[in-house]
Amino acid sequence: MRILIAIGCNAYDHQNSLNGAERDAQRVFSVLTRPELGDYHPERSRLLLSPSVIEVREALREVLFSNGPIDTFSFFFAGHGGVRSGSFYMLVRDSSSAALSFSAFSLSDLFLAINEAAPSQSNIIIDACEAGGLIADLGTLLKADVLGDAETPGVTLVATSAQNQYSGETAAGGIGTNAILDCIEGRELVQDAASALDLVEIGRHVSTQLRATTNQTPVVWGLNLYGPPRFCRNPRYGSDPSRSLREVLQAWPTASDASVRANYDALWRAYSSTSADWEARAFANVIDAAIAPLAETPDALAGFVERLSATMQERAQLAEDAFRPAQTGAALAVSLLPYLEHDAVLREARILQSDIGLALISAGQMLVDRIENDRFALLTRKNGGLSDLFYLPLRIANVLGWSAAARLMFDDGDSRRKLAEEMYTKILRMMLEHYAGAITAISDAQAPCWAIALSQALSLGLTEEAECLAGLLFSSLIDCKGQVACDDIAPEKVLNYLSARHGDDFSTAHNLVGRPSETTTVLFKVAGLLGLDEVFDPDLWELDGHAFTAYLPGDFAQFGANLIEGGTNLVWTVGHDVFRVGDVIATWPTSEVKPKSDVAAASAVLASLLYQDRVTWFMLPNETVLETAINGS
Amino acid sequence: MADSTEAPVQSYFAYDREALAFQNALLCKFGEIQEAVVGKYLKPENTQRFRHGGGWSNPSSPHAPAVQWHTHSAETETRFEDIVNCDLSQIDQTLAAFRGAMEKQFAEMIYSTVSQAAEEVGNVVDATTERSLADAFMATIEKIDFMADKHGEVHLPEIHVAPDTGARMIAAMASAPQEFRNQLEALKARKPEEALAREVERKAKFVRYGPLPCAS
Repeated sequence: MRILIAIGCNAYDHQNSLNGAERDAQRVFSVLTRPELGDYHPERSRLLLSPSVIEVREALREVLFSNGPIDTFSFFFAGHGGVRSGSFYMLVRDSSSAALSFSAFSLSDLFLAINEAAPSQSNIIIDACEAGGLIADLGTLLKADVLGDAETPGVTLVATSAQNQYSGETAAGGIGTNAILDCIEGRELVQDAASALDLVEIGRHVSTQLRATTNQTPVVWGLNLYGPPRFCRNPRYGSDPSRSLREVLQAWPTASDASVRANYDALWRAYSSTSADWEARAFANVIDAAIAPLAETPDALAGFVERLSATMQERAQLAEDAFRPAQTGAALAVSLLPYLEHDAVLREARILQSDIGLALISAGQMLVDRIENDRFALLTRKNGGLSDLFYLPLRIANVLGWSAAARLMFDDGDSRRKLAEEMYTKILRMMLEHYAGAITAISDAQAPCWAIALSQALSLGLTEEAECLAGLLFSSLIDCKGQVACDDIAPEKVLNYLSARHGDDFSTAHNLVGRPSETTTVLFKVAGLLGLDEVFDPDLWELDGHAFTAYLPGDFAQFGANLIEGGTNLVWTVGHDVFRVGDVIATWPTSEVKPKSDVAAASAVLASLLYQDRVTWFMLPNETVLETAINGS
Repeated sequence: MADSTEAPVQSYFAYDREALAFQNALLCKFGEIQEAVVGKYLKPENTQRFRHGGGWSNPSSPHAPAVQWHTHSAETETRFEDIVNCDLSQIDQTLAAFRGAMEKQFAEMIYSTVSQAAEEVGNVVDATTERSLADAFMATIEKIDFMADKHGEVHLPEIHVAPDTGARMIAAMASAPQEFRNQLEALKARKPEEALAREVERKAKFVRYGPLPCAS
């Protein structure tokens, strides 16, 4: 059963009247009860025009508790809204500003009712002044006693004006409602790959549009964990004539998955973390556990990750870290690595990678703008100071590695690839101009970033920049005699490491050093590609006794795992079996396993950037690439 | 299928977070013990750590066998009864059991690895076929290359033997004829020179060794 309540309130006893709210509710009701668009039950659904608060509560009780099990419940409200004492209220005809808790309908009340009725999926759309204030109710929603047990439904909310903003109206209706109806009725393309649309997808689309064209900043929040999208049909699905009619006419999916229920609380926590204190491995563990049971149904797996991606990346927009949306998407893309032999998963991975590429372009451009205005924009603004002696070089490596990876997220010939290349070129030059002193080999966690940053500089023909970057890194490696910190150095040990490095005395800090080091191997490989061996070789005596390594996986399907089984760790020691850069190049195995596709390669790159204890050596081939780079390949 | 009469899991003032922190502290202690055990045989700067894979290999020595990981493990047991009796000696016993297991396994591994490597290149002295224990010692020193470090300091080899074998070896050396002693002294003088020569040869493989002379 699919049920809708649409409320529009123009007439108010104690507020200014509105003109278009009832019309918006009528239009939404009319569209969503059409079988070919929304398929909501026309008799059981309710349209309420300028109702009293008692009429709203009565309609909700009747709709939610008199119709048996509900598959999808959607709630639309257009009218005045307001935030009071941290709660969002929808104001109806008899609501009084002086007594909102008695005379208005609160979002918390709606959540409690939904949780009790437990539809499989609930969608809430609010087009009202201060509708963004509903974010204040998130804390309430996430409390266990409100969420309920494992039967708690998925909930998605779209609010089309942010807190402290007034929702705009046009002659044709509310701006937010218009934008949503454009998606539902197919005037705007959300996507054409699935037969149904999720409210999160629509919300993201509307959000992007309204941010660009109005002063409204919509809020999209929620997770659809159960089954494929089910808010409304997708009128743009099947515009590709090669799709079969049978697919277009597929029934509403109702199956829910046991693995989602088992991981429900963890998924909500992972979702919340994307905008706050986020840790890639913890996040990936939750995703991996949720998708593993879907391994036998790759279509379902791809669909599930698609929905997670839409909602997680939207949430990640709220994070202070401009690169968080890309990182969140990367963790999801990497989780698909073991399943890439399935076409549906491969397609989804590439779509995700495109989203990541766009997020990287956006974050990179934002950083360029900031640094143009403030040379010190990359320094820590919270609890910073001396800690940046260690973390600024790490931050620079991350900025370069992630922005260099952006172009790999798009196919050859994709115009967005060009944008990504321009962005990386700007950032690389900017780092060399403003932060050359902090381009330092300080931790082995930088190794994967340097590998990608340098390999992409080579591919783009930025030879001079690559030489400069490699030269700065090699010089710092020689200065510290190869004693870079281990990739997982505990933050509380960083001060000890820096003191040891400064005093050139590691007698009490041996276990803080990355041994054997991958940073050295990256620089030797790059020196081979750039022909810098004549520059590096005379100083290699400074690294006498220094051991370095390269881990070559046996199979890239597991490249995102915490501990990668199989494969080989190659080890060399300067002064034992290496006296010149060429000794490494000459002994590099010719039978190195490579990713099976560009998609797998891009995800492997993302895994190396996320976890930083593995390097994508296939990005640094033994043969020289300079010639091909210069030729523009 | 679970026994339907079994009581559901219940906790009482669990102190879960605190217990986890305690376990982590214990793991750190195990880590320190392991470092000390390894440190008896290897300098910390010669210890390497790997994160992935099933072993390591040396591409510059393609004929050397690839090394596979070996798991060293220890199991300790604490009785509920000892916990209930608040027997604090259980901590020392647990740590001692861990140290004992790690020492035994690491020693076995390092001696068997050295032994296997020596046998593979035929660098073995059989004491039973030598005329005396003193001759066996001489043959051993003859086969060992002394090492000079990059600072030009020669390090004498370490000899690990059982205590009674060591005592017999010392006694045999003390009672050896003067000619043997002269030979041994000559060997002890020659070996460091050879080590230093090898070190000079090794350094010569670099493009340059040492800082550039200052321009005057």
